[in-house]
Amino acid sequence: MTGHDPATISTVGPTAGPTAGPTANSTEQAVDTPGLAINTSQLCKTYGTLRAVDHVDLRVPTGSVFGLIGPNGAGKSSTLAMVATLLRPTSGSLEVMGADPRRMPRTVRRRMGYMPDALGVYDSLRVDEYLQFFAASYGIPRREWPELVDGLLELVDLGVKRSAMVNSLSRGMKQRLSLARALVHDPELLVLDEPASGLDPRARVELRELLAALNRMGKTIVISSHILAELEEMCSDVAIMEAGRLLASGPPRQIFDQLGAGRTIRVRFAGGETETHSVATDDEQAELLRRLVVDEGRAVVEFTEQSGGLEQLFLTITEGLVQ
Amino acid sequence: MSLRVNPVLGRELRERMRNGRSFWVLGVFLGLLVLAAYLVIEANASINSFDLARLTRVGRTLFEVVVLVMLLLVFFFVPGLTAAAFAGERERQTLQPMQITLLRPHQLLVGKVLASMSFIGLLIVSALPMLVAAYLLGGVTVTDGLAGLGIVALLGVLLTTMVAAVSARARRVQSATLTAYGLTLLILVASPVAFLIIRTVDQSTGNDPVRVPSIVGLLNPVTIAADAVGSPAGGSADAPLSALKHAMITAWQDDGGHWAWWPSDDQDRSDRTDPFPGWLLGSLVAGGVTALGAWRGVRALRTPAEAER
Repeated sequence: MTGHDPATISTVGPTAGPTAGPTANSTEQAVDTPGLAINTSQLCKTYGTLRAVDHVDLRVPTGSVFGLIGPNGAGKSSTLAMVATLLRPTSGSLEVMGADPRRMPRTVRRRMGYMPDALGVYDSLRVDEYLQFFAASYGIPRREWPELVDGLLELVDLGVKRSAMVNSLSRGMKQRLSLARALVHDPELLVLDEPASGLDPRARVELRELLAALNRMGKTIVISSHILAELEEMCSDVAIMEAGRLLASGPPRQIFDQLGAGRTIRVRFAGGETETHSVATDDEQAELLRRLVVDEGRAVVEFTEQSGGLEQLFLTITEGLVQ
Repeated sequence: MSLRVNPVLGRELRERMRNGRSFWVLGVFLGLLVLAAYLVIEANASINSFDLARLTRVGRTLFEVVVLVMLLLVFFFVPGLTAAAFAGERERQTLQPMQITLLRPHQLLVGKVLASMSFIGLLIVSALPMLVAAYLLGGVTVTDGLAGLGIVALLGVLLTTMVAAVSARARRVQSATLTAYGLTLLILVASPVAFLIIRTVDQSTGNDPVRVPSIVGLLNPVTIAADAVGSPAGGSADAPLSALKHAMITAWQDDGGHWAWWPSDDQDRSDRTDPFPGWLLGSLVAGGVTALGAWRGVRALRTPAEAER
């Protein structure tokens, strides 16, 4: 696989020029950026001398399932924590549903549900009491709790565990309960930090189906993971981070095309003969098929793109950075 | 009209009542109180039941011993029961999900303090039968009883708030607990130690009579309780709070009726026996310190995104 110079593939990477200070937007009013649930510009977060997030320009389309991909220490959790009003950016600007989390954290919290990577539970609470506590914490009237809790437990398939103590649940169930907690105030944006870590394969499939269902309900979902297979099927857009920098962002296919990373096309002809071809774009792919069928008159019975998926994309992009 | 209970309070009460430790603490608290009451009764076992004057003194002694032991037990248990309030949430990684709800930092602190105070209230209420026994023996009025319960509750609230604020700033339960017990010990011994140091310094300069500002003695929960509950006349030496109050008034009179080093005028007020309520003065100072601690605690509960504004 060919390595790439990050400077050439990073369509959304760091740009030169002065960075906005922490209070650069302190007098701005919240304005929904049309079509964007999250919009960051030159976002930075440093811990002492460590730059965890380095001039990140992230744009998360409303209604998308957005995967934030990167190895451990890439800056994913710090980025999401800033989105979730838990961390203050060192510099740069950040808008979540049109509001600056630094100036209007409660506005952001009303419209965003956050599920951290660590699942903390209250040992002595029942499942329904756990959700009722968070319903109360979001100011939801008590009369609405029964219906709300029933609906959430049904959604995350924990109805039968309604009266179970939280500490008796399996990890997968706790993850689903944590997701239900993040949904308790019906947010438009869900921010999930490594939601599938530590889950068994069945629990991962169930989580994936659940997230797909939530997306169909109109929620924007931002999900971080370093396990690419679990994001592959569900994400409409991805962003790839490494060492605090955003290397690429957009629909996976678009990133592939921008990279010119190439696709491998497997062709099977009548009689069983097979060939593989490399193309870079949709146009080249169409031209290949036309040439084989029209110009050469060969009997093509199978024409398949052998995509390496997110894993190949990730390796293609990040390989050039790690020298 | 619906009454909205602080969500943190509701959750904490549920958790505490399901936790076996609460009942263990309640048992130890009552056991020690009963032991103290038993020792008072046993020490006066030879009293003729028709000697009403002595029975009255026993009733008074029993009442003051129960209030004093109750106060000390509250000061012993509050750090242990409250130190984990927020440090425990941090350790269990449950604080962040709570911080990003619509609850404000002060609501989190108030919820935790109220939950701890509810339990302290339970401890105090459970001691009522012993106070009633003292009342039946005599020497104690209903007002005395209310003052005793009130001052223990007030000092308990202040200490609980301070310890909760300590917990809000701590990362670990262990460090929060150590700091809370250190703070409690400081609150209990700082005033007597300061008193001794000032007197020693004064003596070394040859001052006669030795002048220790009365307010120094009031910055202590035991002296605050003594001033609120004790009888000014002093009563018997067995009644600890009355004896302490009598000693404080004597010291205040010896000092010409001054609370501090600076005299407000040259008039000699040593004949006065109705000083400004010392318990109120001490409580106000303690309240001020607690308010400062609570403010710092609330700041620590803001997320960094809010806190650095």
